[in-house]
Order: sequence, then structure tokens, then C-alpha cells
Amino acid sequence: MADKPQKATLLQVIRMVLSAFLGVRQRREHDRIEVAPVQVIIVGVIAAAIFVITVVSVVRLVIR
Amino acid sequence: MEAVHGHTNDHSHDDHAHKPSGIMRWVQSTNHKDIGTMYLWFSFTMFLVGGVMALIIRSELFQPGLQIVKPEFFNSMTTYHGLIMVFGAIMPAFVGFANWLIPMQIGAPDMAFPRMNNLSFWLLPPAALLLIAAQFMPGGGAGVGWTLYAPLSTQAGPAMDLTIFAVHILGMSSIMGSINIITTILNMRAPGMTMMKMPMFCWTWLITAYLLVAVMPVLAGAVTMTLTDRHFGTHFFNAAGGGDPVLYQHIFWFFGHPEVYIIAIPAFGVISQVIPAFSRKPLFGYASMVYATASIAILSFMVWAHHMYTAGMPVEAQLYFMYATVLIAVPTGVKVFNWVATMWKGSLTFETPMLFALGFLFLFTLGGFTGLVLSIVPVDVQLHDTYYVVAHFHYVMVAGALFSAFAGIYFWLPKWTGRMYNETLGKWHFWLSLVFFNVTFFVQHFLGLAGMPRRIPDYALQFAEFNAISSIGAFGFGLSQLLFLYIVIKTITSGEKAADRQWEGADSLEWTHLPSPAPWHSFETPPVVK
Repeated sequence: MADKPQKATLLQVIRMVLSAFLGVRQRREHDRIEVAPVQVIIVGVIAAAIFVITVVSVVRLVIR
Repeated sequence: MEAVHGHTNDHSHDDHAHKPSGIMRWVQSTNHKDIGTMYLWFSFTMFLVGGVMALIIRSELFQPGLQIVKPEFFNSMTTYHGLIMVFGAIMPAFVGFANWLIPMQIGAPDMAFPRMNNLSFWLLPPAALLLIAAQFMPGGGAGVGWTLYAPLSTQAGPAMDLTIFAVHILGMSSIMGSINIITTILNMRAPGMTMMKMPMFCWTWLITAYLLVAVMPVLAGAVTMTLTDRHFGTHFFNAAGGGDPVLYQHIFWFFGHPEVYIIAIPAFGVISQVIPAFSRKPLFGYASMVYATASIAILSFMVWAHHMYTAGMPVEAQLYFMYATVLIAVPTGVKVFNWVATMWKGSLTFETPMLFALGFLFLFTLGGFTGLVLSIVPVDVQLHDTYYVVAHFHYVMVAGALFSAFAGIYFWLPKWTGRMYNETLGKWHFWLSLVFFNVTFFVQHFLGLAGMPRRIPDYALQFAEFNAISSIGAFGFGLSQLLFLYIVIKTITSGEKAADRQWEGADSLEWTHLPSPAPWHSFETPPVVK
């Protein structure tokens, strides 16, 4: 590997966490960018909260 | 994964091994391989104990009416069969795998905390003795179900206290084991062994260890609250004192659902090593698998109340847990897809480990589907606490976790012992297990759909045929496991010499860098992984 992987932007980390929720991701994409664990954890927790809020909102919608 | 330095650990270092002889080698062991071996033998012993309990249950259920045991004893058997199989057999089996394999797969000399490793193991036998001793307490074992629901558990006899302490000890052992695994994987990887180069088995155990650290204290809290309700005048679960028995169910299942994945995820790890080896292809979608496993672990915290739809909850909550549970099937489906895609156009051969892995793939998927059926609230209201649920979770636990453990044992036995098992006998073990497993548990779906409740020693006449079939299957399955014991002992004593890389498709460090059997100390000088 000649070129060093670039530091991930916020958008890339979000993309990464969302694809993790689906469970599908390309390996090539991972090799290209460098992600700090703390980034993934923060974005992951926020994404999990959004997931719960979304499901709860759908439930509210259905009940009404 | 390829090493620059072909560092093979020869026996020239063996004089460094001040190995105590006799029984003290095992009592004082700080060696990850010895401790792994002890974990595996302990779990097999508990598997036999729990298995005998299962056969007592199935003997009583062979015919309607009460023939063999008293109802109280029957209830005790259902309780301790569950506890022993989950905490004494399946979990220690995978910790045994972790001990044996993680240091070798990441190129580390041993686990990060070898002495704590010793304590983690040696806490297990006292806990097992407590669970067995509970049977002999005044009033017999606590017939409260493995979930230890209040108010039964707050009213049960002294056996319940032994059970609570056993759960405490098992939890401590699991937490220490998990801390060890996390530290080992994060800090002791060989140069070049980046996280995304680790074998899938290490990844699955890393995620499982975090799950364990997160939820074992929750279980400890639940049983401690039960203990104080019983003896110290608290009313956490007592409605008369302002508490709520349903609170227990929420706390228990907040532990209990991640626990399902604690058992399943290392099993996924073993399967993710075995299927590529016998397909002679790398694991399809490795990164996807890592991410799917992580997301399954996170989502597993958000679905717990699907175990208690009938306990009483608002319809909003029922719908939330139903939707969330259905969604968790997506990453699980991705994993199944990836295993199938790994085999696609591979050069497949069907040795015993691969057969068990395929058995896992078929039957675990079936257990997953019945799980989806049960996640639908109106269906679950009908099927809750019936044999349909029993059938469902035995497909997940036995055909899922146990078959994967068998796959792993046949796969790594040549590496562990330096000897090869008998392929013909192994195949016999697989086919007998597969057939008798389905004879035992497939018919239980029908029993559940027809309305037979679980945890009862007697039943209405219309359930007689399927129960008789199920009991015959159970004895067949139980006896088949004695064949497994024979195969393992025969391998250790007189198996043919195994090659260093017995499976040419296996590419992790223990196969490519270490001889068979793996020496007592390995990777004192870390290999360099490119």
C-alpha cells in the first residue's frame, strides 16, 4: 500500500455506521479511509438513538 | 494474510516451560491452551449433566399421565436443564474456543491476564456444584424455570439461594473472561495484524465480550434483587409492598436477549472459519460480516420485551418491540447470505466440520424463521409458553450453537491434539445428530401450534403421539453424543498423526505458522503479518 489512507470525514463515518446497520459494506471502502474508534462510537450511539426514535414515531403514526 | 518471517515455533523453547506435573498443572495453570482444554472438558461434562436432565424430562413426557417423576422434580429438571446448558455447557464451550484460538490467531503468546484466566475457569466448578447441590436442598431444586421469574423465585425454597449464588459466580467468571479477551485482542495482536485482518472468530468474540461485560451485571442485579426480596425485606418484585413482578421480567430480558446473541455470535465466528476453509475461498463480504455482527449486537439491546408480550404492556410498546425485532432479522439475513455466497462456486468438500457447519446453516435459519413468526405480537399471544417456543429456541441453541461447537471441535481437534479424528465416525455422529435432533424438536412445532404448554409434566391425550416421537428422538440424540465422546477420546489416544495444516483451505495463523499439535508455548516471538 503506497498511499496512506485518508482521515474520514463526518459524512463517511455516517455512511459507514448506516451500512453497518444494514450489514452490507465493501471492504475496499474500508481500506481507503482511516476512522478513529471514538468517531464510530459517537456516530453509532446517535444512529441507534435515531433508529429507536424512528421506530417509536412509526408506532405513533400507526396507533393514531 | 501472509507472513514475512516464516517463524515456526519449534520445540527449542520448551525448556522455558516450567510446567507443573500431575494435577497441579491444571489447578495452577496460566496457559491459555490448558485453560481452554479445561473449559471444553468442563462444558462437555455439564452438557452430559444437562442432557441427563433433558432425558428425565423426555422420559416423563413419553406418555400422558405421571409415570416417573413428581411434578416438583419435573419443574426442577426444566429449570436446571436450562441453566446448566446455557451457563454451564454452551457459554464455557465457546470461552474454551476463545482461550485456545484467539492468542494463536492474532499471533500472541498467551492471554493478556493469565492468572485471571485461571480464576475465570476455576470459578465454574463451584458454581456447577451449587446448581447440582440445589437438587438436594429441603424441598428439592427450585422449580421456577431457567428465567427465575418472580414471584415464584421469591417464594421458592433454599435451593433458590444456591441458584442465585451460582448465577453470581458464573457472571463473575464471564466478566473476567471477557475483560481478558477484549484486552488480548486490542493489545496483543502481532505486528501487521490489523483489526480488519483478524480472523472472523476473533471479531465475533470481541463483540461478544463487550456484550457480556454490558449485560452480566444486569443479570447479577436481577438475582440480587430477588435475593434481598427473599431475605432482607425489600419489595422490588412484590406488588403487596409496592413493587412489580413484571419489573423482574424486564430486567431479566434486558440481559436475556443479548444473552441469546452472546451464545450465537461466537457460533457465527466458528462457522465463518469453517465454511471458507472447506469452500477453499475467502469469506465472502468479510467487512460486511464484521459490521453486521456489530449491528446485531447493538440492536440486541433494543428488542428485549418481545419475550414478554403477554406480561402486560401498552400496544405501543408491543408494536415497537415487534418492529424492532423484525428489523434485527436483516443483518442476520446478511450473514446467512454471506455464508451461502462463500460456498458459491467454491471447491467444496464435505468433511465432518463442514457437515456440521451446513447443518448449522440450515437449521439455525429455520430457528431464525420461527423466531420471526414469534416476533409478531398476535401470533405470539397464541404461541407464548407453548412447545412452539421450545422448538424455536432449541433450533437456535442446539442446531445453532451446539452444532457450531461440534464443527469447531472437529475442525481444530487436529491442531489441538496433533491427531486426526476418524472421518467415518465423525460423519456418523453428524448424521445421527441431525436426524435425531429433528425427530426430537421438529414435532414440537406441531405440539405448540396445537396448544401444548411448556414446563408441564402431564398433558392432554391429543398430544401423545408427537410427544412419544419427540422422546424417542431425544434418547437417540443423547446416545449419539456418547459416540462423540468416543471419537474424541479415540482421537487423543490413537488418532492418526495430523498435518500442520490439516485443512489446506484454512489460512489463519494457527494453521500456517504452528505445528500440530500446537506447542505449549507459541508465538513467544510474534510473527509479522503482512
